[in-house]
Amino acid sequence: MTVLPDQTMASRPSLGDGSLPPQLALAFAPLHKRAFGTALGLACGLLFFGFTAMYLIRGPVEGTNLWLLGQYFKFYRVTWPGAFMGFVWGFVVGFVAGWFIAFCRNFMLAISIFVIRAKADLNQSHDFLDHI
Amino acid sequence: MTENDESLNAAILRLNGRAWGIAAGLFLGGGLFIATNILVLKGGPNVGKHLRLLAVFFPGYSVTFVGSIIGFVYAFVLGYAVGRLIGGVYNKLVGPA
Repeated sequence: MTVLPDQTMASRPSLGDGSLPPQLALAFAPLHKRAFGTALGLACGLLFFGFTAMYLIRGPVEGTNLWLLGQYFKFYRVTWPGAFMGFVWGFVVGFVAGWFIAFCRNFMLAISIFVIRAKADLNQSHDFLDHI
Repeated sequence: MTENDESLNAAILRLNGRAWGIAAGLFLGGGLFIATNILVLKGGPNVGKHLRLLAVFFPGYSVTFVGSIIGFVYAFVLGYAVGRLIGGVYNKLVGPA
């Protein structure tokens, strides 16, 4: 598997090789959105394919309405070609979900860093008037 | 931008595949175990009419206490595999530390 070409990753050092303590760098390290989306997409796609394949192998069971997923995922059927279509749909949905989860996580992390930094700055200057 | 800022911006999280596997496994396994036992405790004439369809994918699973343990094992294994897959693929794509 090839490493994602990403300009922002080209100069990424490993954790803790800068002046920052490794624990701190680890605590605030962001998730790579595209990589996380791809990983989650692959997992969802394989699950979708696997469940359809297992259903096809074990034969139809009364009450199991797997075909209803076709209402949401166009061209999905409980057939072998449909299983591959399910893989594609699973990958797409998983990728979008993974990307969004990573985005939200990084966004909240950025906000928390901003708040921590703002509080630290305020603490440093709260006795500013005492020195005038 | 200070050196610390650059270090923070440059760092990227790597996932622990085993931890993700165990977490996903416990989440799925625990979820199925609890869902099954809630239905068992509620009782009724036709216990778990829909949940029992999981037996198509998890042979041996049923909406009983024993079935919930079997379901836990199946779901844990599935969740562990999914968690390991996510962690492994993510780390491969992000590149070496």
